[in-house]
Amino acid sequence: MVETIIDDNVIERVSEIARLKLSEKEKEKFREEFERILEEFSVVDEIKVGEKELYYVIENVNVLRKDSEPKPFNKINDIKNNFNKKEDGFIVVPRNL
Amino acid sequence: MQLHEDKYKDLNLKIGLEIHVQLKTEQKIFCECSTDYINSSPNNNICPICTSQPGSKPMGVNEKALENLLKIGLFFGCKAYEKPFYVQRKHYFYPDLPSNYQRTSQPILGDGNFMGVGIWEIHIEEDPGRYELREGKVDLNRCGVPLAEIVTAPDIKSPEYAREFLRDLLLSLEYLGVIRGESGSIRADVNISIMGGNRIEIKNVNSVKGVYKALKYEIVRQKAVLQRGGTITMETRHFDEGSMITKTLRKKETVADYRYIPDPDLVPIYISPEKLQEIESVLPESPHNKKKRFMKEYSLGEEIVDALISDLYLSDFFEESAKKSNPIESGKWCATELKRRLNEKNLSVSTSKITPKHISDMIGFIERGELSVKNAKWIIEDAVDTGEDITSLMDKKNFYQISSEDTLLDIIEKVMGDNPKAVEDYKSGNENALHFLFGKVVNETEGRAEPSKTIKLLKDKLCMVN
Amino acid sequence: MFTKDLIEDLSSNSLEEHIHKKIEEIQKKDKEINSFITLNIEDAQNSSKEIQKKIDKGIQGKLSGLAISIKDNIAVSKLRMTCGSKVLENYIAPYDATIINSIKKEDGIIIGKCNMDEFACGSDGTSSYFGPTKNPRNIDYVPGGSSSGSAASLAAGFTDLSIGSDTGGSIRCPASFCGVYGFKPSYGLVSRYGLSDMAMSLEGPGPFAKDTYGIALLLDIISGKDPRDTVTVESSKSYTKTVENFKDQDIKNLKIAYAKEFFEGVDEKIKNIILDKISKLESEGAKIEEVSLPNIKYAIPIYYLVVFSEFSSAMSKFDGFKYGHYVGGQDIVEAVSNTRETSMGIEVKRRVLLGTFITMEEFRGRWYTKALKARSAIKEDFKRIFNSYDLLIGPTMPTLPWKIGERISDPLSMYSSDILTVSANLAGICASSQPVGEAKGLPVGLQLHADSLCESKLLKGMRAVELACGGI
Ligand SMILES: [Zn+2]
Repeated sequence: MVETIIDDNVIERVSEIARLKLSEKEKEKFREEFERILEEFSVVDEIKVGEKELYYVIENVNVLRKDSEPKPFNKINDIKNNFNKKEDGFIVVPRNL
Repeated sequence: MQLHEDKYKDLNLKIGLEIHVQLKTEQKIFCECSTDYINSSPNNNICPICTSQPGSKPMGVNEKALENLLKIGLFFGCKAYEKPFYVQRKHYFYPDLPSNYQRTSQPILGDGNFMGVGIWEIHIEEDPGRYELREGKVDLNRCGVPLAEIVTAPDIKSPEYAREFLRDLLLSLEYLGVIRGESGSIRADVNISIMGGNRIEIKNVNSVKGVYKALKYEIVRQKAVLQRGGTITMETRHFDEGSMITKTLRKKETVADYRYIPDPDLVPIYISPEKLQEIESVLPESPHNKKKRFMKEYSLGEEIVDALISDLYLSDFFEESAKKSNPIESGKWCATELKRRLNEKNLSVSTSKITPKHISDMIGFIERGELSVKNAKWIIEDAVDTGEDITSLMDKKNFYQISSEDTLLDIIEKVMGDNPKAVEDYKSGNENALHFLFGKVVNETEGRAEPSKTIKLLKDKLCMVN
Repeated sequence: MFTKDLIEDLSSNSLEEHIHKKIEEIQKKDKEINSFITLNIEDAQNSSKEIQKKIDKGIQGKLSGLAISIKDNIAVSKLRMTCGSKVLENYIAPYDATIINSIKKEDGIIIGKCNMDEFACGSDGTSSYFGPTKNPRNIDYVPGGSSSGSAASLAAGFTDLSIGSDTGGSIRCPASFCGVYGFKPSYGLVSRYGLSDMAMSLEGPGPFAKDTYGIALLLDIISGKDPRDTVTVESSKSYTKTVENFKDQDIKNLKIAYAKEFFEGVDEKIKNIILDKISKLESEGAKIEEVSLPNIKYAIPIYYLVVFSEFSSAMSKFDGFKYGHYVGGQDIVEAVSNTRETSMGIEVKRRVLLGTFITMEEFRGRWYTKALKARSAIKEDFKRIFNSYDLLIGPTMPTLPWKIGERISDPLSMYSSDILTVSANLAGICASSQPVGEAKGLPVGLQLHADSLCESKLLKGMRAVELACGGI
């Protein structure tokens, strides 16, 4: 059983945190779907797990980089061309008053 | 200044700081762009990595940034954690953050102390860009400049001490050569609670002065709320540099859940004991060791030593001046008058014109009775401001004291001759007349008469008159 | 060897003509297959002229002007990179992925950017904003996903080689469905710099080819340590040699395991074809034994919990300000929410929301952290097997390709099709798929696994199977 009951408040909060606006219909659809998916996924409870989370499957550690002369990127304009809206080189976004 | 300011005693103030400083490196933390974001027009110091272009990945952490951070920690007496640390992703949407998460490491060092304030932990993170909220403009040049975040215990008890702590902390970091100098800025999140009330966090305070003002404002505000019978609920407030007040954030800006996860693109980092040793070996003497040494070697009192070592440039300056003068005198002058003047002018001995020779020379003049303690304070102010040598300052200000008995007697005789009534009064038992006559001698010498000698000679002379 | 012979032919025939033929094929047939989102025709033609000159002088790179199609989640400078999404419909990549640099350096000709499931979220190639890719073997059927266009463009003869990416089977599944060779390298062997994120701890780019040699050739070029990807490791870069030097005798030295769990619920026709190939290998001297992988049945939930978590993090960057589709709104919160709402497809939204949910303060312990702890169990299972065996053999997919549209409505049934492929990604090991037969006129793929960074063993296994199936 899923002890995580996803109520409307939770869906609302998830959509705010994820910055994804949802219609009432979508909320209901996703709420129902998520409960079903997580219900099925709760079989992971059956596995005997240790205390350690496996974040990385490779053994690389301490990959550091020597500091040296800056190497400026040579196609900055190609980055800027993708800006949604530009003004004096700035990216224009809504104000926050 | 003390941790406890009497005027805040009843409030039981608890202030903790989360201080962000930019670490000094050539390249940014995860890419090869320059850290000199200031001398570049908007969005011209960027690359696919620091603008989080789809598909870009961070490069390995800039080793120099990490070394500088370790220096800071070890200098404050922190211990490095033994287990490897992860760089985490802290998620929040903001236009200055191209990936909409900030890369910020787990604590790397902790459990240190500076000026009696506990250092809880220190970690490394990336600086966001800049979002001019009023104009709605974003510049990403600063994205990825390495930052150290220093988190203190809530040991600070007054806004004044917070200000002094920050000023001295910045000086120490500058002295270590680990932070970017020209920005001179500090960014802090300030936590404050009064009278056991809830903790308020003030975000985005961008200067030492700002921290002080924000705290002053919060104390007044919270006191007023409590006096009206209200309660202080835990919240995050924003500091407005313009009006110097704190404002509550709107609800939708506070819906946050940082959802920290270790960044899968950055493998764990482990600080080896060898690495720590290597850093420690090139580190200047720690404030803790210096304090012990100063008290022993120079027989200085604790309060003087604390004041000296809180500014490492000043402690070096003191040691230099103590080579050619009495260390106790030199310590006293450096810790009090000199430090006061420097703070007043917002300078450090490294940025002002005064040299250790000024102090040792000045002490020589005082010891020879040629300079009064009162005038010595003026000498320090002038030396800080102009750097002129002491002899020429003495001449210019006419500060040489008159201590020759013959010269003083001539003047005393003249004053007594000019004021027969006062002489009469003294003889009939009016002690005030002595002060009157002394004042006249001081005036006559433009303040240069050596006071104790003058009093003694004046008394002798008055007794001799029948 | 097909790809090797092709390169040799190109040194005596006209490269320009070869590329021209590919372009003609694309223009004739890709309207129907829909394997490309963006074509690079002019550039490809110019390159063919340049490289022809090199060939004439005998100074050409290893790829010698072969046509390569690139999945559209890999950055090629100055070309559009859409990730199959409206979000990046008009995004022009400002840089080359590390592997693209290497391919260009070895004179590969990038012929176009391939269709794919939106942000690689899909297993059948139908979730692209640019319409579904169709299976060249039968256009009523799905080509598999998410590297749908890569496999389809190769199977349709539009290109000589292709590059895809594999997070949980995204190379092997379409390779199997379209009847081509697909290879998922060990995690860390190939740089991910320039590969748009789906689930960073699971994925990497990998090659598609018509034969084992083609796979090895690309692997030699794209593998190796990259300062722009901290998880990468050094590569021997001797994979082509391994394949060239393979002798029939080598089969006898292979210890191959098959796990009964990899046959549970698998279509009977597929099962029979795979078992037949296993017997063939055994008859040629390979040692074959049955083993058990008890935790495989948990692989799907573990895999998807990790995917949701990492994907929701990776997708945060799309706010419309710096690049990508933008709608706008009164304030920064609304502008971003509107933008994301109107530009992301249903499966992308589903994963972002679920990933956000399971990493939230109050739910993360129940889901995110638990999945990561369970992930160790899968890795241990494989470690145990590879202590005693060189390879693990089985089918790539539990079913034959299905009809387009059949599995769109139910996410769980779509997820379940990944059952045989996700484990390799959870464990970080290498795996391949290659065509070994047909059922109902649709291709069947055989999957091999080898331990992490044991690419040479895997290539030997692929070559052995290739020869066992009558390959040259
Ligand atoms: Zn950069």
